[in-house]
Amino acid sequence: MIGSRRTPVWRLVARFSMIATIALIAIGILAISDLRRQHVSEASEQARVQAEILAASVAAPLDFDDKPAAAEAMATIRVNPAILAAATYDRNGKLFAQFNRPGQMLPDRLPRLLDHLHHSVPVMRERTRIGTVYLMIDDEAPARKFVRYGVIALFVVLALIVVGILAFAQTLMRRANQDLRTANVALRRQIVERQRVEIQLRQAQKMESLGQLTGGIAHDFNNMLAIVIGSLDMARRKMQTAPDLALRAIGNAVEGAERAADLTRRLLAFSRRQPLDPARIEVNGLVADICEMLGRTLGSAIRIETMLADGLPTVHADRGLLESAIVNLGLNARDAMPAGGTLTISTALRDGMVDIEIRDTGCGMPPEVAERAIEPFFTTKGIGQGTGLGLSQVYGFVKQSGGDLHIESAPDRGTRVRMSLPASPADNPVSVDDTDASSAARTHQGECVLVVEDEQQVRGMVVDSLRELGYAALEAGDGPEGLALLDAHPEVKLLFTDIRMPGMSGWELARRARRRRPSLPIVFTSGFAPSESDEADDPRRPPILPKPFTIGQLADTVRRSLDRQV
Amino acid sequence: MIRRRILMALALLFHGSQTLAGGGQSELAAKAAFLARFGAYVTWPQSVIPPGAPLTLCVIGDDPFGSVLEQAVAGQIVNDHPMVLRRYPAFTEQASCHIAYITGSPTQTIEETLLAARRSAVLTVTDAQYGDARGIIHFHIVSGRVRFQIDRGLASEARLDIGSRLLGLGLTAPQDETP
Repeated sequence: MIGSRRTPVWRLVARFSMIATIALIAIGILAISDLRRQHVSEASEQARVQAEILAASVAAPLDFDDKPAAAEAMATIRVNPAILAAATYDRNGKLFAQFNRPGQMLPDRLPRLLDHLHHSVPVMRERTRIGTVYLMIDDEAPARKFVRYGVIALFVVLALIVVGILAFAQTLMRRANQDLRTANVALRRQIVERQRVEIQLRQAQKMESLGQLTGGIAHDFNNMLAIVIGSLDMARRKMQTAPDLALRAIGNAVEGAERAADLTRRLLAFSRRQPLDPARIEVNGLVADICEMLGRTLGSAIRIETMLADGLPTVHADRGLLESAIVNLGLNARDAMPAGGTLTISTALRDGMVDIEIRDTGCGMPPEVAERAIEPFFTTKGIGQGTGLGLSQVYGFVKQSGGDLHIESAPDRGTRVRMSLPASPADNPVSVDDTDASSAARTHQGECVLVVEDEQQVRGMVVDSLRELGYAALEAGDGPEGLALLDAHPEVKLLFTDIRMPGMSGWELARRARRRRPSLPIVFTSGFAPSESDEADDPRRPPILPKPFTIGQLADTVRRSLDRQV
Repeated sequence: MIRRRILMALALLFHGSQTLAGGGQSELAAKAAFLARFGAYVTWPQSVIPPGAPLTLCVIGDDPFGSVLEQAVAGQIVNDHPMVLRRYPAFTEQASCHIAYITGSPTQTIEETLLAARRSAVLTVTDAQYGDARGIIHFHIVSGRVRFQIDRGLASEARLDIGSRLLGLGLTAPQDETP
């Protein structure tokens, strides 16, 4: 609006009004000149009549040379203000008698007529011209003059008023525009300010959530670290005196550390950054397996029913995480039904997605709780009863798998949680999930493994573990060093590399290594997400060993990679 | 008479007074002109002057005008009546005058003439110059100018209708004054 160069409507109106005003004045002047013409013709007609009357009345005085009588007759025109002067001239054109107003002079001899303001009429006796009456009429009677000029003045005043009003209106309009512009600027400033405040508010909310999250993690982690540290301390003290006790304490420490690992895995699940190991899963079979296990876990007060659809396609997902999600939902359902009830697990095919729905007959959730149900560390359970990570973990897993999570709940109406997972692209209803743990038992052949890991302690642990397993191990702190070692040691049979490293990433290192030795087996390890997962669906993709892992898992993965190569 | 003429000549010499200077001449001319013009302002009974008949101006008594009056009357036509001039020593019924300027003569004094014309529809004109006897119109001199007075009673007696404009002039000079 501010930048508009178009003539505003009000300016056009002002221009039009100006033209109209001028036209009005012109019409007024025309009307007045017409009035004047009318006046002049009227006045001369009147003067003619007056002159004729005068001519009749001065005939006798003229005839009988009676100047006083003639003057008296002429004086009667005094009452007509339109006549400035009158005179009677005798037959020889000599001034006989006259009447004139102050300032008016009449010639001694009969003048020649100049214009419409002068009139002459012959004075007749019988058919004889005995003289002439001459009249000089005023241009206009004062009263009529006043009216005429009054009309002009009125027109001018009206026009000036119109122009004045227009100018005033224009000024007001301009001022209003100015005000509007100012208001606009102020409004924009307010909008910017508001946006700034909103960003601050959002930041504050984010910080609050982050605080809640980190607080929750710290709390749970501290609990587990307390177990680990306490147990290890106990083990160190009792190592000499009571080896049995020390061994049990170490077992406790391992258990605590595993729980901590589980916690971080669940956090990663929520952040959708956990390393997935997707496979084709036949959902109905998986549900049937879990139901058996759930039956034991949930207790006899909860009845479990299944409604499984026939001919379901397989889904492409991480089996372990899917199982864990269903168990999580089952546990939530149990907690919602403290007095017992029915847990229904159903499967269905809908819009190319496989739905797995877990329904309970429990207490349900009010809308405000349902809304926040998937927030991490949000829980309605008492302290020590839940971590608040269950649903958020399920949500993270489903989203990461390309699916969707839908929660439907109302107080005392139970809760339905529906996971929708995408069906496998090339469908094969048979599970290809072939876990073969036997290779773990297979021994080493003393092959050389190059370990690239920026975290020195982890690297040391991996190298120690590999040597323990009978492998030869070389270690490097970053990508370039790893490549150098790879070049220097052709005996290296496998590259074991972390994914996230400063400088060259594990992905980049693997690409470069493959360029040198295309058939080199590679094993990735990561405590975080594969962010460069363009090869995620490639079956020939090198395996990812998620941190933390046990020696057994390390041995199994390394062995399988080496064997596949062979 | 002679003495007056001398006085007038002296006045002419010493004062150049216009009123007296042209006095004799202009007075006569004025009176002649007036006599020729009265007819236009007076209406006679139709029996006295049938349509087309001449309007007769008579000088009863001595004629002071000479050719002046002749000139004034010559060619005058009043209401389709050509004006004619007659001179009589005395007024008679046969004279059939319409306007009579009465100056008196040894044969018939002014008073006698007036008496004789009394019952006739004649516009009698007398002159202060010749005495105080008055006809319907009586000439006199005011401020050196010829003026006249009109006697409406006599006019109506003579069955004459005198126009208001002439009446207006006749009433303008009530004083009877001679220098």
